[in-house]
Amino acid sequence: MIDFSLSEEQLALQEVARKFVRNEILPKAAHHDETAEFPKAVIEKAFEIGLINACIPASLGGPGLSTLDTVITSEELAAGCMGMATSLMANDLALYPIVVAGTDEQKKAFLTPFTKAPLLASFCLTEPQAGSDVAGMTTTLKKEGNHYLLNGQKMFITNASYASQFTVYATLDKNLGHKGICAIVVDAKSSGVSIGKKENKMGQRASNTAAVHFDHVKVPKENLLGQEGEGFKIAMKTLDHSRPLVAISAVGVARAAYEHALGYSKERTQFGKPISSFQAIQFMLSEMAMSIEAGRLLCHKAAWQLDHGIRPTLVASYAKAFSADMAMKVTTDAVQIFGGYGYSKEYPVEKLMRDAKLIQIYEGTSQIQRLVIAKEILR
Amino acid sequence: MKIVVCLKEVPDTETHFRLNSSQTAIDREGIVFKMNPFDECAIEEALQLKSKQGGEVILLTLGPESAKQTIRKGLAMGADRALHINDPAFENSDNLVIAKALAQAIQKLGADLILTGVQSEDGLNMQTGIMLAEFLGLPHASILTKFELLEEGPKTNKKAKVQRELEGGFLEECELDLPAVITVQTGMNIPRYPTLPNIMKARTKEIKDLKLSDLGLTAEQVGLKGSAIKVLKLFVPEKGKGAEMIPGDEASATKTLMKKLKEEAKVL
Repeated sequence: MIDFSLSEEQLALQEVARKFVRNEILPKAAHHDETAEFPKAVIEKAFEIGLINACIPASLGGPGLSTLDTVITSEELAAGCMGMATSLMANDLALYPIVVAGTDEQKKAFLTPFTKAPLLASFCLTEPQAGSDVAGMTTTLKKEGNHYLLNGQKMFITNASYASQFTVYATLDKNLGHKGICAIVVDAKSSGVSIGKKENKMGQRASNTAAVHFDHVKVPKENLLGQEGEGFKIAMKTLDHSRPLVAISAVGVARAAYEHALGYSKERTQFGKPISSFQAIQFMLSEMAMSIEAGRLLCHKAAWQLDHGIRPTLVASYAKAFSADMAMKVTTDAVQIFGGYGYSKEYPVEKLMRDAKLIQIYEGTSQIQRLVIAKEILR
Repeated sequence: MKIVVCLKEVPDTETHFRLNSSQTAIDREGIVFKMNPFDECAIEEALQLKSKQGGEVILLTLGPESAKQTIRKGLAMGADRALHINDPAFENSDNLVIAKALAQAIQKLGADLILTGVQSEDGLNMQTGIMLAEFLGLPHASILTKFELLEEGPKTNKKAKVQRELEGGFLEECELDLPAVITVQTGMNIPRYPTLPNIMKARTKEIKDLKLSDLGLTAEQVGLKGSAIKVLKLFVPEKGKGAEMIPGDEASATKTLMKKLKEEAKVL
């Protein structure tokens, strides 16, 4: 059975997200891009409506959305501002490990506060020397009586400067490779936690990205998710879940660029005709429309697999690699269609191009996605 | 407090309209429908009243089956339940018939306050709310920009202070006896976003279908037969003369513009 139609609820969710983007995000996107000021007010409003923390189960006060539902709203948010979308989605990345690996007590303790106030959480995996090479991490966890001692540094952490809680990956013993990695929840107020300088990024400037230092941080042993050594598995499961969401945001960015380019091509005249009447422009627009649709379908399929308990790893990587690369191409072509105006900050497309670049890098680079795909198809 | 809000589904003005073959209505095929924005403000006002007073907000819609999606959006905003006058017999009914049907439904409910939008974005008749008040024998205040109950509290309120919009930027303040019918102007409030959890919960809220017989009306009283007004033709007006572009730099163009406004348009 194949059905591409959205349910009435999904259409309603899409409409609310669109309205939110039109009223709350679009008027402020350029300002936050220019100043890199954190969009706290937007996040608080998004919280009131339930546009964040989609992964928290309804039984714990979450919105009770399926992954496909979230994919649909995420496309809209990203089409508004990818930087804001990244900050809005970061909670899901940090909280999902608790959803999949937490005990009932842990879920209650670490998830419910997020349903009561607009709090932020960060997912701390990347290190200065360990990006794609997750198992190469040097942040250590050492058991000492009733607590663990956490030491090390995490890098490029979304929302770090504003987070109240961190989901940290650290190794018990580097020699164990990925089998030594643990996932643990750390209160941001713990003694020994400090936040580094905010990154001055090329794009997605509304989102906050900073380093986090852990210096002899005592973490209660009850905060460990799953068993010791299960961290890598938890991280991979989380990324399987988050990839369709990141991928669909690439679709959102691409769609925004395409819509701008389509509109502009009908208005801009050269040689006495709108440029949309020239085949060179038509081919670019057709390519954009076609690849956006393809990316969206991949994302919807990966989300559908997750919602049906089917392991989504392969399709999620298809979706992430395809959509991120596609968004880079589409936004670049949109700037091309705008010509000199497109390169100017007076027009919105150069921002989209800068924002798109990061999607090829974070949450598994486009190259890592291809490795995942190869591993899956050569199994 | 039992509050009824009349809700209409209208075509989204951003969609591309086509007329049907007989040129008496727009072709529903391929059109996106949305909640009438005036009614959206009416729902918001009702929900704010409910949060102060307690009670119940009931939505009432007359329209085809497809209008359920708009009713559910109202339920997602926070209304408690809905009545849907959903009978093909009402097709081609004029405002008077629609107001009569709404009145029949409301009479059975016994509401303390009835809200409608000032007008619907498609018809722009501004009649239904007023006719409704007449059928119900209730006082009525139109084009409200403010509504305030004079005694707030759990007991039934008897009076409200309202502010109405008049021509030429004037406002009027009145005291209104309750129960009453009010029509709400946009700008009276900023309608809330339906929250995502409420969108998901809207499906579990009751939407009761009402047929002609439930309202004590007969087929002769409704539809084209029962209506005093019949739409003869819908058409796109002929295009007027295009705008005139005035060439030249700012200073000389301004001079030419002033001259034209004085001598040709005679507005200065």
